[in-house]
Amino acid sequence: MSIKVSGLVAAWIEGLQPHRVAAAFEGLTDLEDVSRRYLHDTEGTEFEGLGWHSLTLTRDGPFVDLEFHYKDILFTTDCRRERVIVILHQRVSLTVLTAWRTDPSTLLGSTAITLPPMTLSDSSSEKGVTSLILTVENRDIA
Amino acid sequence: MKNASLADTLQVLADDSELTTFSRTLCRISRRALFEGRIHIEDLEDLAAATDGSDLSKEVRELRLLWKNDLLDATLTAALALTENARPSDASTVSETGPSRIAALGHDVLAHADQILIGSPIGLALIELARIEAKHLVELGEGEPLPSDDRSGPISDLLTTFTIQIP
Repeated sequence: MSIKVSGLVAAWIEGLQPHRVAAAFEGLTDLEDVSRRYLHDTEGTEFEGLGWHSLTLTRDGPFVDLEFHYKDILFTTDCRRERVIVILHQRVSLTVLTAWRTDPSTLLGSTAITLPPMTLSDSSSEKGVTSLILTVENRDIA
Repeated sequence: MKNASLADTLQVLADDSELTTFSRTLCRISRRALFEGRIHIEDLEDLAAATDGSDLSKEVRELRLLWKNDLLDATLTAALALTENARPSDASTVSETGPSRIAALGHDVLAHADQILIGSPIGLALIELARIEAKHLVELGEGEPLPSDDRSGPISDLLTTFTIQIP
């Protein structure tokens, strides 16, 4: 069975050194169906070097979703709906949100990674926490 | 908080003589941007005069008044309502109208009041955008399109600060 992950996660992993890319993709494909794997720290795991913290992998059929922190930002993938939810613990300028909506590539700034096409489909903000919903295509990794 | 109550709250804060000129002016700018679709150059001049640092500790203490979650959430809802209305129904292109841009600033000046107070890149960019909108209202009249490159500098400065930098 082919394993599907969010195109954003796949692109992020591909930014690693080649031997690490293989190991990280293997970590995703090896996960048994209907199971979870918790990694409290990326150190010493195949995902070391990505800068992720508190990583959780969840497999559901062909979909492997990831939930992790990058700095203080929470990323959660929802492969079934081809979405990535990004939670920022701050109020974002509405002027900036509008610019992100017009050109979503500006959301993730300059990076060495080849980012997949994405759209900012929705956003909400309450009590100083901002949630962004990105639509990102899945990638088959095996 | 309903829109009418938000407008009243901002008015009460803008009129509160116990508050510093900085806080009062920001509330006035926000209320006018959200509910009148206008930014006045005189308000921006008052704000610039108020951020001379002479009353900094009191201004910092007053941020808690401007940053009440229900107040900021209400300004966001009010600003977004204008943005949503301005979006064409097919959503194929995002066309920003003057009122939605100005309302967005009505939220932003309060939400990032601390940055305006210290004159950080975020604060300077927001004030510059407000100045461009105020100038536009005076010179071009409503409905006329804003030259797009006018805002590109300060918006680019804002994006630099908020963008998520992944490796």
